[in-house]
Amino acid sequence: MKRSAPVSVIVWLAERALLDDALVGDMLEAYRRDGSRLRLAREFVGAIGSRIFSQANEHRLLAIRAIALGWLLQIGLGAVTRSSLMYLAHWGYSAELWLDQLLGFAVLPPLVLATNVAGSLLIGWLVSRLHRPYGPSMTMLYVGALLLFMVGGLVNSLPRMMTWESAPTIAFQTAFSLVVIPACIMTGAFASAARSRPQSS
Amino acid sequence: MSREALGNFELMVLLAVIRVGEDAYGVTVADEIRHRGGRDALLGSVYAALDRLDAKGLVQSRMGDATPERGGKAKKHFRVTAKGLREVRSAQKTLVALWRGLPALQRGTA
Repeated sequence: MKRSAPVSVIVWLAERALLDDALVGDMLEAYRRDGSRLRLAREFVGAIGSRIFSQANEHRLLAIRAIALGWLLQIGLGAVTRSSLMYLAHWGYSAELWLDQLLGFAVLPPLVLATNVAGSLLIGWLVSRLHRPYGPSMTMLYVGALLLFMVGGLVNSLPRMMTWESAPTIAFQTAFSLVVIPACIMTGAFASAARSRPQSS
Repeated sequence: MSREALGNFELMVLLAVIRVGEDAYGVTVADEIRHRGGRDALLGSVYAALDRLDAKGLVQSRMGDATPERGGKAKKHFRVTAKGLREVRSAQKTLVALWRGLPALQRGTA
């Protein structure tokens, strides 16, 4: 069967999320019959939701542990990278002016983004690895908790921060926090799950 | 008694498996619930219910062949067990007994 790109992405995600192979096959068969990508996406989201709910309900302690571990790693890695970057910024401030400007404009901003991305990948990988064989579901629970926290913080602080000048920065920060970070955490989790996925015949 | 653990949706899935018979797998079970039960059933929910029924010993599953139209994924066929049939009969008996003697429901005015 020839697949379009969105369908391939959904199948790839479904396999990484360790959904039952027979269920993925059923979703593809139903899609082939009615040709609705919306229906396929709905089936995929429903299957993931159903899997997370049933596994979290069955293994409540593991679910709590996954959320707690995710937060601890987030706080720990955040503290280490923040202090390292602060040290670097302070060192640049005390050095030559050109070096300070180079650090401030060309080195530190991409370094901050890179450490956030690498840290998120690592957190996702670790949370998933330590909660096998339920890694992807447990990591999604942590991502859900993280998103709730981020959305809460955003709603709380947005009215105070919002000006025309700050709009692009806020838009970037929002997209980074709500899309890039969760995507990186889940990529780490899927990478970990792919290594432990049994080969289907 | 395991009857108390059999939920409304699980009962619907079990009945759909019985109705479909030999060819019962995710898609046909979801279709049966959609067409006869008049409610939409997502495949993920059907599989979650079938997994629970399997764990309770009310259905049995076996893997079929992988086909190209399913992206090379095999079908998982389900059939109801003797225990599952007993459970459905018990549920029917309970529901019918509760139904009787409710004039408001019989007239359709509740």
